[in-house]
Amino acid sequence: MTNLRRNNNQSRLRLSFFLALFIAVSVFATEYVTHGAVRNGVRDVAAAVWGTTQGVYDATEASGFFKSKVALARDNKALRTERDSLLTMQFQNDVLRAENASLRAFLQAHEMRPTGKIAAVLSRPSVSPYSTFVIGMGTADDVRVDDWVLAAPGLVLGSVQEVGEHTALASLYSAPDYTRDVLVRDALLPYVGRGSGNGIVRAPRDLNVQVGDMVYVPESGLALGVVGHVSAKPEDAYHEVLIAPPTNLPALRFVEVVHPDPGTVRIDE
Amino acid sequence: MNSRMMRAFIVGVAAASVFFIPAWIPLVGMSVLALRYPLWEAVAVAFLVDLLYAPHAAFFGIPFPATILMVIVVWVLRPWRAQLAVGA
Repeated sequence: MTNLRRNNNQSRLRLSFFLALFIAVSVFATEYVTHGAVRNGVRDVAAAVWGTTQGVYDATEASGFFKSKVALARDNKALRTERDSLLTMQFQNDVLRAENASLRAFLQAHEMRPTGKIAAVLSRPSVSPYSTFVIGMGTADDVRVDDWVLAAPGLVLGSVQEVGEHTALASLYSAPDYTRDVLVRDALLPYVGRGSGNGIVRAPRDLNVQVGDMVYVPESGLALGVVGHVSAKPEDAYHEVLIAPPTNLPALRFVEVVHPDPGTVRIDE
Repeated sequence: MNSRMMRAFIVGVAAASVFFIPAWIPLVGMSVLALRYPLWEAVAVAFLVDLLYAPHAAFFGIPFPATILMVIVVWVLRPWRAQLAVGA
């Protein structure tokens, strides 16, 4: 009787294994033949889940139901302070734009900044184990593979990897072991992603990289990040430079999706 | 709550959490449980993670890496599960 029970268990286990294998092979084959239709379908369904939860969260936050009067007053004060500093930054931004425009007029140069589409971030970059996130735009909105994904004008986060009809999967340039060349202090250096929005560059000591230096993607002129830390010993010929993301990734709500455009500045002859 | 309901509850929480919290947390939790119990649903949760977040060639060119890893934990390490069971 014990042997019979053992044989039954083993045959049940074998059956479940082959059933699972059959399901897996079917899904993989469907994925291959339809070029990712299963993934895109799952993301489209997930988009409804994310959208609903975000709506509920926003409504709850706005109502202040779970906050005490003291907490609301504290939030109010913090928001007023933040607004005042943003107004100052806006003024500085306007001054810089005016200066930029007058310089371009002097050089007779026209800036060809590619215009993009604003897409909602459905899944936060921190949720994915692959440094990817899902955005709420797809082929229906003319989003294409390899489109740039910008946190703000001039600040690039990564590129689109897969596109469905209404959603797309974007990959961060800081994905682990993603490599590319970047510009730091006008020097072309190899960059390696380290995950969590960060990357590493090995810079020659003579380049004198400083915290706060901007890091650019050469072919686009867009900023990839900012130097956050420089690990340096005086005897080292190369310094290890930590590149921090250009924005607060956990708070990312919207991104701009832009078709790649060779060059951003055209000088009129 | 009987064991079947408990199992369904744990799998449901893990599957829902991959949408909102870092996916490695439910994956590690399911892996730990799979080392002790025959938890084939862990493969389904890992597959969901890969469908949502993994690009075509996610991990050094390997597609569906979380799924493959969970299959190894659930099935390949199955013979060692009895040795890992405490008081079972």
